[in-house]
Amino acid sequence: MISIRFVHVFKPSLNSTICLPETCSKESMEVIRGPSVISSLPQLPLPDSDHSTGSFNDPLYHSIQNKLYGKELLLNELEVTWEDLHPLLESGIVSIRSGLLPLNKTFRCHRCYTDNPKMFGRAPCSSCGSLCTYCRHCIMMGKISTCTPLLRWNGPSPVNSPHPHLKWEGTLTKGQLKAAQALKDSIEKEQELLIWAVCGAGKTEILFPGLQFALSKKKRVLVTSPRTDVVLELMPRMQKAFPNIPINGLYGGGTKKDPPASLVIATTHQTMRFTDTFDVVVIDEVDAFPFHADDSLLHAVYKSKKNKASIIYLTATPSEDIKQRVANEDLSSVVIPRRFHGHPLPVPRFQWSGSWQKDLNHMRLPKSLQKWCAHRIENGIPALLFVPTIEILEKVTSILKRKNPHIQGVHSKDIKRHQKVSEFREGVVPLLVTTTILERGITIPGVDVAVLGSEDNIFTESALVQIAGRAGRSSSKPHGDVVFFHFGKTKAMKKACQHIVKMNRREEGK
Amino acid sequence: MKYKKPMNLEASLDGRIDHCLWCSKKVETRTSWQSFISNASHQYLCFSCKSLLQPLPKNCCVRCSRPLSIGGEHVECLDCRRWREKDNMGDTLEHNLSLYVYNESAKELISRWKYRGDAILALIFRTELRRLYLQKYWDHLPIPIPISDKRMLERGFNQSELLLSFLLEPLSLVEKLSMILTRMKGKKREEIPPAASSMLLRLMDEKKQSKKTRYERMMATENPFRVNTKCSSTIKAKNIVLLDDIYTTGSTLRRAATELKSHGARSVRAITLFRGS
Repeated sequence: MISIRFVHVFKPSLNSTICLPETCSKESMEVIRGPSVISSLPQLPLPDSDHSTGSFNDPLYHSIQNKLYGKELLLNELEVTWEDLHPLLESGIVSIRSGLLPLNKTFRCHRCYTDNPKMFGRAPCSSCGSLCTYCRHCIMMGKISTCTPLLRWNGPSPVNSPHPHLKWEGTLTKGQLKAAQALKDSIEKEQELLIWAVCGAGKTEILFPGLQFALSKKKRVLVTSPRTDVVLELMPRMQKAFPNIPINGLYGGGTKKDPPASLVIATTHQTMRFTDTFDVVVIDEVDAFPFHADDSLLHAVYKSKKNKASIIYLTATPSEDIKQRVANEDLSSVVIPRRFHGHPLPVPRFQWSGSWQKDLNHMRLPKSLQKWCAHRIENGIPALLFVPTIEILEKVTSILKRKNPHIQGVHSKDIKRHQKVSEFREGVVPLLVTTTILERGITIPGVDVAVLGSEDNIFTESALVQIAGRAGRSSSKPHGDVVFFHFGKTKAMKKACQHIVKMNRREEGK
Repeated sequence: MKYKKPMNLEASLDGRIDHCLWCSKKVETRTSWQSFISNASHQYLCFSCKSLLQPLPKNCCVRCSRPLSIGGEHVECLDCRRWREKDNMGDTLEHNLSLYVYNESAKELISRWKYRGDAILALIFRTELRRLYLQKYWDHLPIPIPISDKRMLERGFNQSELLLSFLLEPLSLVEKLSMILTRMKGKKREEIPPAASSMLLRLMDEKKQSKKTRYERMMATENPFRVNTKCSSTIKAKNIVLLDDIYTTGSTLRRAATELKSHGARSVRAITLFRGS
């Protein structure tokens, strides 16, 4: 059993203290603390980035630079040994800090920023020879325990970005233009901004002028979204708009390992690896899961930005605390109440459907819903039916399949999910039953939307607004039917309806 | 003799576990008399995650717990017969008992537990494993299947040793009561020496079992296991129960059993968490 211990060494040439593995320290060095397990050593101040000393021209330097720039990684993610890293550590180009920071009774993970005591486990560990606490929250990205160091790059940036050419030949509506200008301003002033745009307002297009501005100023930009589907959809659109800019697309299951680019599109989970590197962070759907439930993820996104950076929140349904910040004038905002095609948002109808759970138990749908479904299938109108849980989804799908075997159901644990959705797009599947997983980011021209059991707690105001926002998104078919089948109206349902009516009125009022 | 202090696994730093270890959702716990008396029956999984663990069906091979398609009592599966007839000595492993079927969810769980290193997931099996051990193998000497030093460095822990630590915990009140009611009452417990985890050593650093084909597994001749020379006297004439996570072809367990038998073990049985098929 070998134990990896670390020492703090004073480096006269750098005039600062650095952290080295015990095996790399020499007798001539002035050891200040250690050797000890890394988490029990006090935190060293983070070195300034871009302090480049010494010149390294070997391929290893470049491969480490490409992998590590702007991130904090584990030794095995970097696929090098301590011996390889030794010269870089001594010159301060790569620095080490503990993966877990002790906080009075718990820890904080420096990757995912969780400090919830329930998300840590303690188990015997053979590399430090004692009981060792580890973070369970981000364990699927590699284990970080009290004896795990995180490596960070302080050397020069490998990113070299050409002048961006925006190749997008659309025009922005008045509302979009206003938002695009506000975006540009806040990038220039390194401020925060909320862009509150209704579903289907054309949020991606609003970003283009601002992103071009930021990229031309050699700023590094992150566009992050909680969902892989959104990242996959955004990637080709961005690449088409900026054909000469390399883009890093990062999502769970992605395998491409490109050199770091100045434009990064990533899922929120993937941004956990970044640190102090972005000048502009665009957070798409800030209110969506998992931000919503999990505070640490938002902190992890904050960690990825530089000290001075602008954060852009994009959403159709801002959460209460964000609205509060706007009301306190703590956060500037711009509202786009109208869709890009200029038509109002479809307002949902409420339809009482009695004790629909009982109906399902008798293997039938409530009459009103059955009629609704039959009408869509007969007339060839694509229809999305949202249900609260996977169990209900399975029941509803099996009932509907007896009428039409092409009908499918999708949920988060479905492996064939992407295939089924694309079949729905193509029209092979006439009606798609889904859980809230498809509440965001899906655009199907001319779709009608229904919610069964909209009184369930899972359908919050923002979820219902998003669901209603699936209908009437294309300019050729700007109208769509939105029905909430319920067994008793809830506050969330009423609020969602008010929200939509208010947005429609806001435009008319002008 | 004093038992070795059980290794500590803590699933939460604030000492309260009310979340599912697999999906992190909150678990509703019902307070009952049993939960009042013992903490062994603690719920580590929520209801829906628990249902992902599939108990073995009734129709199983009597010797290796392999799920069988044809019914009938006391059926021995083909593999077990082959093992029995392979050498003249007969099968070195008498019996294997598994807890669950090795399905897709189990695969995910094992991969997070073993390969990602989420050690505390072992707690999920604590209650069931203890119950099985106390009911059937109370008088047996438990030995975990060791892993090589290189693997130990990679992973930081040996999953089978974690399982052993559960068996070494002192009996709770409920367990004492149920012991009195079952047949195990009169049987004397084997004294477990403090070095129970290092009685068996794994010398060779072979390819991972999970990366080998079925043929490679069953035909391998070299035995990677050695009995620790300091412990060979403790093994003599003992009934031994081996602990491991998965039983796929049984070749790992059988090679360990062969080594133990050649050092005078009376019988070798096994408890495994999952039975692959």
